Amino acid sequence: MRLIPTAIAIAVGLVTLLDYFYANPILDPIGDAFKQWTIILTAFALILGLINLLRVHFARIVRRHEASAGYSIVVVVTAMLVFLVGMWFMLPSAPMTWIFDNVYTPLQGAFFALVAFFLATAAYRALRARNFETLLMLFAALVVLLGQTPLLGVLADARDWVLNVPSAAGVRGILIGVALGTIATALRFLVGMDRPYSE
Amino acid sequence: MIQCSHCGTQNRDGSKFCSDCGARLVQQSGLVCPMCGEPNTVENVFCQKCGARLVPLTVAPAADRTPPPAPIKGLSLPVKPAEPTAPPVKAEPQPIEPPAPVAPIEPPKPAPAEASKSDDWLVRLRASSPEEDAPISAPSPETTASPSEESGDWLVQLRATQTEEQAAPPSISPQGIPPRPPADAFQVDEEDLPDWLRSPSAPVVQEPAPADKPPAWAAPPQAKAEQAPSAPTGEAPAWLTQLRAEAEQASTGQLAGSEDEIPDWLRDTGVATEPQPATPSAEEPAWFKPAAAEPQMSPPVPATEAEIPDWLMTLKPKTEEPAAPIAPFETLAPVEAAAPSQVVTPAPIVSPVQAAAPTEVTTPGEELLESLEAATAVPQPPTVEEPAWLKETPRPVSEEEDVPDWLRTPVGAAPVTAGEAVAEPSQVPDWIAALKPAEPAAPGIFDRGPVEAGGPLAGLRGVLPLASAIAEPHAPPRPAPPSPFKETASLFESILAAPVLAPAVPAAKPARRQLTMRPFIYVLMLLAVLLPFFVPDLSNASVRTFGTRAADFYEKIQALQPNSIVVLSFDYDPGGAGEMDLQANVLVRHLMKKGARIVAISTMDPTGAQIAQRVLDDAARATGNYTYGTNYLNLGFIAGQEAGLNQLAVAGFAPATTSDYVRRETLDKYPNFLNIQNWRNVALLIELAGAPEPLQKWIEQVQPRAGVKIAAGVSAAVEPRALTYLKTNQLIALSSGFLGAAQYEALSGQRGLAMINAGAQSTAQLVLIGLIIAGNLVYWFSRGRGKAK
Repeated sequence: MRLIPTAIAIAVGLVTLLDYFYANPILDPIGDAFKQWTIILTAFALILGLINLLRVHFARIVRRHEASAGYSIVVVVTAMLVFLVGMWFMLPSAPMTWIFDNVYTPLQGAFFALVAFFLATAAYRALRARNFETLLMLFAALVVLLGQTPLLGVLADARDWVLNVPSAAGVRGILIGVALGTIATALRFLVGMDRPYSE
Repeated sequence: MIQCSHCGTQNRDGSKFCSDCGARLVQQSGLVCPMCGEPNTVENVFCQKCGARLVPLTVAPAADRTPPPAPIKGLSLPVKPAEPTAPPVKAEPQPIEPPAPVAPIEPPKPAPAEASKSDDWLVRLRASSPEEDAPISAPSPETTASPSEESGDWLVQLRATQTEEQAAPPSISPQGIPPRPPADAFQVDEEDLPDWLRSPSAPVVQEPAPADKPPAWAAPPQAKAEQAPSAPTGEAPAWLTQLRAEAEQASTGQLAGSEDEIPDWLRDTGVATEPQPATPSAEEPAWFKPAAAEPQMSPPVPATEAEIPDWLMTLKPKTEEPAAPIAPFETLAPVEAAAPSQVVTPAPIVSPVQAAAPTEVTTPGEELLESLEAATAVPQPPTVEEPAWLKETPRPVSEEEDVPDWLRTPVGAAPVTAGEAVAEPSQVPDWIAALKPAEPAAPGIFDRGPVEAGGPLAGLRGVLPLASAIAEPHAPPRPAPPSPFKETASLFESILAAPVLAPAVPAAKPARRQLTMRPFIYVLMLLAVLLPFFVPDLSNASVRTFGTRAADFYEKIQALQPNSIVVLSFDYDPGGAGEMDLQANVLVRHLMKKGARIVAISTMDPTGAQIAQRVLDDAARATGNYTYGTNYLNLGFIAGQEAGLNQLAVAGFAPATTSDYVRRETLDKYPNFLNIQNWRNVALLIELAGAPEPLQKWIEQVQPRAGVKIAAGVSAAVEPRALTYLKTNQLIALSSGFLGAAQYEALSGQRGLAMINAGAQSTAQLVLIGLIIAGNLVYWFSRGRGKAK
């Protein structure tokens, strides 16, 4: 019974891959159609995410012994309120703009600002030169911090060198590894070795 | 719902037949006749079809039970005792019929007025003997005194027929028994009668009437009228007069009837005639022969006993007290003029067992009494062979029957009775011996009991073991375990008694230093961020711009032609807006300053469209010459992630299907942006990425296929990733973080939030550097001190 979904997945993957590399009057419309389907399904994923969010928090509300039941009530009420307001007034209406500029953005900005305090505590407790590797990492961090401090204006070139040479090399290695892994995973999907769609 | 009495199926109301088995349903909890199956209503006592009794008879409690009426001669039933007793066991090896007559004894039929409660056979019997049974079914005094309407119909008919038969004087047997009607007068067949009634009758006994005082019913009419004030005034009814005449004849000892008038059933018994030795016949059972040869006079009735119930007294012959009133037989033929000594009392029809009297002077009543007494007496040792185990079992003494075993056997005393079998030690298994209670060494309770004050046992102590046993605490002694188990038990007990030692928990490391440092770090960071706003010199820090990536970015924007189409992708959320808005603001204002047509989109988060609209509107208001739809446009969120970007790179912005974010109009409504569908008309694409993924998707999906130039303004965290694309010319320009925004502001000559915040960022980063150094110093200092210890 898994033959049909596997065959469909392989066929769609091959058509999309060929459409990506070759311009063909037959494959292009098929590839475009598949991509349109993907875009629609991705849009529906947002709705599924909202439903899953409500389901999880409704379950927490039902199990009142959990300490986060109160927060779940706030989440559910807020989500439903924003959803109804957005469906009624649509974006970028004044009510939705007000909610976005005066509720959502300040809360997100405040949460992001807390990272500075967390980083400060982590800098004191974690950045310890326990061995040679940590000593190197500590040294690189100090160089980058000092180099991008406008008030001091020192070690800017050292900072750029750290970012352009050792850091970029490491990032490239990571990106190449990710790319190879992506190719391997795609091949396994195309040959039917991995069938996450039929689980 | 109606439940089927046959299969139990629930049927709808109003159904006549079961929907499952087809059986006829009884409406509303009716009664189904157990004999014919006819459904009856709940009010019916007897079946409306076959006459069977539907409601079982109940015996009233002893307190509420009225004295049973006298059994009607020849037809009355033996009175059923309230509690069935065991049939008497005769020790004599005589042929004894099965004690069937005892079990089917019907409860007493109190009066004809309660005919509705009688059995069906009795009802039929009454109905079948309206005329002939008059002397037999003489009414009771209550019935006589009560109005006629209270009596049953059968009684009324009976009285009427008595009047008709006055002409023919009833015959009386030589023993004074009113003659039975002819056998053919009964319409009831033999099979309709119960077994006990179908069997030969018991010998009729002749009781002497009270000598000195006549019974109440034998009193003169005046006295009788006084006793029964509710009786109708005037003369007694005809049927009563007739009965009186019969009694007179009986008192004279004359036999009013001849041998021919004696019914067959009475003649067969051999007791209705003179007490002559009956001729043994082959039909007669052996047990009946001695009974027939017995004199018909019953032995004297013994004195009344409290233990004997009333119903049993009615069965017991009254020979010792002839003057005692014969209350149970008051309903018999009221013989007024009969001689007290010659009052003929009918003998109740008894069972063959009762009739099987031995040669002694035991009457059936005596036999039954004896059997009951034997059944209720203290059980005697059985004569049958007892099993061995029963012989070994100690029998309780009669006085100690109610005493439990633990009381009967005092603790420590454990007297062994004579009849008690003591098991030999060799016969007792070891595991039982291990459970044997240890005998205490304390003195027995007989040594501590009360001292007898008088009597032959005066001076003795503890002669009342029961009383002493009650006063003795009866805590069961703890079994003494055998020695091998005792050692194990003592070891286990010692283990349990040992105090539980908590596992050695390593002492928690002192976290005081960290706990006290955390708020200090927070306060220090807060002061570092706020300090530049109060110290102007810290906020006016100069930003080096020469040779930076921001300078390259600025040159790329500066090189754009007026009305060039620049696409800005706002791929960050409000959480990163604090850092990314600085770059977006300075870039958009620079683009507006250059007169570029700005198209904003969002590909990572739907909130990016709203952020883009806010940034564009703010920049348009600051510039003053930019209007939405003409100089800048917001196309909103492009869903689909990689697929959406790939489709966007291949097909471009379709004018017919692409709508803007603010007005919800298709792209063809905005003529200044119609050429956006071809990426070749886009001068520059600026990716504002708060995370590396959207930048990577733009580089992978759009840049190779669309061939558009991409510049990126990213957060400081994305800079290492973006630098890889910058070195490969996949990005033509890059600006990152607070520093890049501040540098761009400095290059464009705008003093915005980026330069103002640069002072706060500098102080915060200095605090971070100080904390890192302090933490390492503390770590190395504590490490060195630990090594020293």
